[in-house]
Amino acid sequence: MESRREDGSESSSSRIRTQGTQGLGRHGISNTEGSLAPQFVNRMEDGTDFDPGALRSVLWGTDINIDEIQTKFKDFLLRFTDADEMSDGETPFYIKRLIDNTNTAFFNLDVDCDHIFQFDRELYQQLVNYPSDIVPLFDLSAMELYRSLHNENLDEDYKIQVRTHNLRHVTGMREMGPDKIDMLIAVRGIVIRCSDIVPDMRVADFRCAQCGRHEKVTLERGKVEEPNSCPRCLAKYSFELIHNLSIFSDKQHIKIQETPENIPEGEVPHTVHICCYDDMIDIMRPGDRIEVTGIFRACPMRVSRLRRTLKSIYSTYVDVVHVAKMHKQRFTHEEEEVTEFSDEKKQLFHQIAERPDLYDLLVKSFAPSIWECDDIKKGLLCQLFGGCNKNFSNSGRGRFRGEINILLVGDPSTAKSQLLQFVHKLSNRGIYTSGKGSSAVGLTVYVKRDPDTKEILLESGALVLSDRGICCIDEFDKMDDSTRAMLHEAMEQQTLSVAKAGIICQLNARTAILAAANPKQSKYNPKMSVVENIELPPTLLSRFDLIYLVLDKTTEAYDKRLAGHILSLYGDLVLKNDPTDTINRETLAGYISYARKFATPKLSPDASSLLVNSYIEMRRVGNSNKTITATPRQLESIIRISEALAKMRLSPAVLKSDVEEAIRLMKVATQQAATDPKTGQINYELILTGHSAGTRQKVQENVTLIRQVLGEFKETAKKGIKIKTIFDEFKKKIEALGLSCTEIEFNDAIKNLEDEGIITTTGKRQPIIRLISFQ
Amino acid sequence: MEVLDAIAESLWAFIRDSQLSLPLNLNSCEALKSWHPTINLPDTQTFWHETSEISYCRLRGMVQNQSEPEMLVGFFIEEDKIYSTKFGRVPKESSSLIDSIIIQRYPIKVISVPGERNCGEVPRVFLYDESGETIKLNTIIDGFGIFIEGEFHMIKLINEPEVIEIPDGRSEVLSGISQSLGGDLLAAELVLYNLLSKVQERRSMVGILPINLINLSDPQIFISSISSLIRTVSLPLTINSLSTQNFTPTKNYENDELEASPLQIPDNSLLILDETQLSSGQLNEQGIKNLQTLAHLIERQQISYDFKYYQSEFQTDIKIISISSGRSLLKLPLFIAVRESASPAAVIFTTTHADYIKGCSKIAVAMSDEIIKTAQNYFVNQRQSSSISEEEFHLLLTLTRYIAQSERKTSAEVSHWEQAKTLLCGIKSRQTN
Repeated sequence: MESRREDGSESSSSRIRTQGTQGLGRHGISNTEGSLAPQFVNRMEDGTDFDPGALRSVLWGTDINIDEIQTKFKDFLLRFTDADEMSDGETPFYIKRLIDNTNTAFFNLDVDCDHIFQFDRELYQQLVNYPSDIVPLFDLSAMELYRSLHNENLDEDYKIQVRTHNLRHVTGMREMGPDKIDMLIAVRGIVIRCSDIVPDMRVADFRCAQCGRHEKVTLERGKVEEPNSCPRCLAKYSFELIHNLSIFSDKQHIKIQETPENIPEGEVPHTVHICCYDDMIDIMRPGDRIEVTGIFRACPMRVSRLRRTLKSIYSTYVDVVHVAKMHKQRFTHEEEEVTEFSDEKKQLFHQIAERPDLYDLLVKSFAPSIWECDDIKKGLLCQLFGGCNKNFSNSGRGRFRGEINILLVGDPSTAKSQLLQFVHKLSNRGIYTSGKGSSAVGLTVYVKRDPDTKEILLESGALVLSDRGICCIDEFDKMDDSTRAMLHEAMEQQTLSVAKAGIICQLNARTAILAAANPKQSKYNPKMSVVENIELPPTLLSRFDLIYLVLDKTTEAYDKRLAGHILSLYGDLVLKNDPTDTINRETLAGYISYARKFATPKLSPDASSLLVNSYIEMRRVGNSNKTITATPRQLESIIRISEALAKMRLSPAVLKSDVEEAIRLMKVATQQAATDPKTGQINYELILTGHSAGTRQKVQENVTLIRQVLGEFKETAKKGIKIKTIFDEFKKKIEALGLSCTEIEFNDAIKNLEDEGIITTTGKRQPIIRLISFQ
Repeated sequence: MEVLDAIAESLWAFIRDSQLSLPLNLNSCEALKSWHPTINLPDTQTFWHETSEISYCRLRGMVQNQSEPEMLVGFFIEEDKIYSTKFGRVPKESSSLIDSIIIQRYPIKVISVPGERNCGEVPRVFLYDESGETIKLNTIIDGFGIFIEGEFHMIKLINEPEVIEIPDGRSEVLSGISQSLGGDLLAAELVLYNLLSKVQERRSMVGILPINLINLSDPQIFISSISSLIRTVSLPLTINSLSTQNFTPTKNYENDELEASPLQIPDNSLLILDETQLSSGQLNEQGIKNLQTLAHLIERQQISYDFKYYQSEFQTDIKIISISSGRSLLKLPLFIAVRESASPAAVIFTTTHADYIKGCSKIAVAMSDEIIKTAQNYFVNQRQSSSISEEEFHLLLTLTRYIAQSERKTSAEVSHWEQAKTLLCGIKSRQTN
């Protein structure tokens, strides 16, 4: 495959040009009128051999007039103004670019093909069909224009290269058939291999073996024409190439591979060979996603000595004209990433947004294989759409996160992981990790020494990688404490502070967290609070906007529906869910990224007053019985959720109904988790501190009892006493009072005493208590 | 050369019939592009590896890898006659190429079908028509073409024959399987349903029935017997094999090969995971990864291929039986300890038996209204006493379906549901003992 044009025998005129003719439809294969002006393009480069004015010159095999192309393109450069960017009377778009080029000494002119299309559709079509000829003409026109603009004699070497990009159609790798040969195409893929930079001849120096005359031949986009005869001594085929007088430029071979979303089910991804030149080399690395605009070439393979193959097999590659890096095509997150939405897409999204059953439609389309749990799906949708980020840096409070954090707690096999998986698949920056396998470094950053340069490098962990995405953490409860501690900062401040190996920095981790946890005793115990059921510190719990209990309910009606649902999956003749009633995952992902990008809803006055009233109401319920029913964090959560709900409709305003729904979602989710199982009342303290007021009172009683016990063992206790002894005594006492106490509650009380500085405990397996003083 | 001449004849006949003449114009180019040979040669039973000269022969194998389509000049002129480069004819130095017609051909890498007779290294295979664009990895490819100098040029693909009339083989097949299992009818029944199982619905993985057979005194007898009933791939799992092989098919960008995995198996095959030789020991990282790959395959019927820059999920539809001395390392939910009443005897199944399995596994089954009502009530009642899980309900319905299928029925009735309950009851009673 390394055998490109070295064979030298390829010339466009020796072949019948079929490609491209479909586009114009006028030039049959037998067309000969163009043969009057053979191979003018390469000749014209130095502008000497050929006088454009003397002869009506057309592209070989077509009736495309060279002068016309140049005039049209110059006209385009001189007159095109971008509606978005320029007001009338200012310097035209590309002229401004050309002027900028002088200042930056950067000699490429990026030309947006969509601009050409808007300006002159015929020119666009001609460019796509005959790029090998037309792109050099563009270069020439741009150059002439540049000279006239600057009105000065420029260097001989000085050359402007026109780089066309943003074609209207991106060619799939599987569409790159023979009909695309020699056409300008755009193709997307992941870079899988980059070759070393190889010298590629730019100006070939030929010497006539007879008379010693030197001829310089410029290589134009990969082709070099050996002079046939010497102009001085008229000898034929007398030229030899002088390597050390030739000028070489850089060239790089790159292979790109189809992106996963474009591979048909069950097939191996295709790859395409790309050739880059000059300053386009070394800007890509394996793993990058790129869009290449270039000319699709096919040239005969070098004849192998071992086989009689006579160049009947072609190798194909794309000669790069322009290359741009791009991002994955899942839903993207605002700001730095640019995703193009075609007009059709936009129209489709707005159609979806206007559907009266939008909310239900989205819920139905979200993880359709998971049955019921509609409220959870609604919450997860809110998370995907996200709230709005608010920046109060000016007033000193910094940034309020718009990300919504969600925790799913529940019985095993209740599809928690599947829900996580679905969210993960929808979110492009998302990382999916399991708490069991995650370490603090794995989630944050780890320090690595580069094997080649021996430099210290920071490698991003899951949280940093999912900046602006959703980080899904399964088995959240199995995570060790030090790892979880890292999450505190990430979840509220949305940053990660690192101090490792002499590197101290703060990284952005603007990520929403979706976590799933199993209850401590494998099945959720409804008699205990959430905090007791899952071993998570309350400080962390309170950072979740929504906490869902996913419980394996056992009511008859539920079972009946479940049985019906399962039965509907069996039997080939039973009707499956109507697929027209949902939108597919790609559309959903597109819709979400569109909404995230373009919808920035603001609270309407109605909605604000409802928020205020609801919050006051929630607080008041708490005040009456001395429990906390709402905190400012809940208020922030409700705002975020309402915003997300408004985004779902692509609405510019958060309405009253959004706030109502947000409060309802909060109620079904978090408040279920915050219900005190002992009293049946909602109590946010449970989440905030892990204890309800009632529990705290009980701890206090226990403390008093333990004090009594300690008082009885005063002398031994001062030297140190086994905790077991104290516990046994304590238990006797409490049972005498007709009460009961678990070991956990006892330990809570001991902890309390320790905090008060009355005792110290040492040892882990069999702790020893030492009494310090009763104060 | 006979066959190449026949192809040239076919081309000339085509040119005559379409009244094409030289020099070619745009329309005649288009017409030539669409030419595909019609050869008046009888279908041959000679396989490519049994012939040495250039001849029309047969090739059967599995697509192991696909390469980029190749572009080549489609036609050339030699001594005033037009020839095609399709199907392996190579132009001479003196021929002139008609380079206005570029055609595409699709090179694929083919290996012997796993679980079938091995015919060694299979040549590079080229497909010339649309099949090359749509063919999927790990499918069986069978057809006639020309074998020239280590390349096989496919002309005509043949489809696997369908079983039109399903023979009644239930009792014979059951007794055969049970003989190979030392007379255990219960286990044999479970094996039969496993052989009929397919992925019926992928989102909820309805239809799969992977099973774990424990305590076979002679696993080889079972494996060799079942091989005559269905295409079987046996994969012995040992500490060594798990730690040294890579079960994930991995793309090697150095040589553009897809490094073959033993799990690249065509659909509708049986995969036997033989854990009987698995001794205790430490698994390395690769071993653990391989176990995860197997678990993923068992649970989701998917294998994740490693293309280095991303993973790509490939869907499979294979039947899985694991054989182990104790419970399988892979924790298959449905396991049964085989109880032998006699020593296992090797059985050779006939093609009728194989047709029975092949035919039955394709039957579409509807659930009768009655069964839906019965099953629903049963579930609700059992749930009240918390004695049935969702998984178990799925299992019962899966068994019901395959019991009906094994009787060549297109509708599952209450009797099948009752049979499934009895069967599951028998299995469960063995699990607790």
